[in-house]
Amino acid sequence: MADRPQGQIAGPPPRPRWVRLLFVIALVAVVLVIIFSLAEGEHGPSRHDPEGGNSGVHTPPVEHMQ
Amino acid sequence: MTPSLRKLVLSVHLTFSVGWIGAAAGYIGLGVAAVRSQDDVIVRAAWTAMELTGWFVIVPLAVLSLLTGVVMAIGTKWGLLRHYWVVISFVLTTFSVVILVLHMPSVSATAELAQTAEGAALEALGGDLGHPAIGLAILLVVQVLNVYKPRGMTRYGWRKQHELSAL
Repeated sequence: MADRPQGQIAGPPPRPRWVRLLFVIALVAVVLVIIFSLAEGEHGPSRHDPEGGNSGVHTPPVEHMQ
Repeated sequence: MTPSLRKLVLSVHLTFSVGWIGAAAGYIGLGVAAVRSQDDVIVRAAWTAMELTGWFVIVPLAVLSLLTGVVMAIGTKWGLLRHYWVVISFVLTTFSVVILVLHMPSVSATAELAQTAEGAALEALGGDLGHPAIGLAILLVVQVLNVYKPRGMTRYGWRKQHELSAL
């Protein structure tokens, strides 16, 4: 722009390369997690529960101790 | 934030954050014991310890780490949304806390089941290694970002900087 002083940055700096790289890694990780979750079936450690996993209401252990 | 207060909050934040990483590593150790042990008593004890460690150590450390991290960001020159490394650390930490809190009832359910299960049924419970392993990896990424503080200002940070320099 003509009225902008010389040396001033025209716009915000581009997104750094490491941010783009991290974003790609995160995207790949999310896709892998989704694929593994779909392959495994029910999610979480209770998937092996013969009664159907985490179907009931479970409370923190402090409430069991009272 | 004064320099002495900043150091105090930083010390508290580091304690909670590093404690969270250590507790997650300990949780994985218990998970390995639950998977590998042939002794039903040890498997049940491991699940009980995982439940207790999760609710009474990992969840409080995670929440306090997130809160003190936000205080550190807002109270210093870095800001919460001005630099990519802070934004990414904040997003990853918040994501980890949310997944942790959503996951813990499932751990309680399995720990409860482990108390009555025997033999193959107990073995089939596994050791909940996936969630803590991914969580630990995320925490290590956050730790590296916090130590190296790689360059990179967000659009918001850039705008704020220009607003301040224009004054």
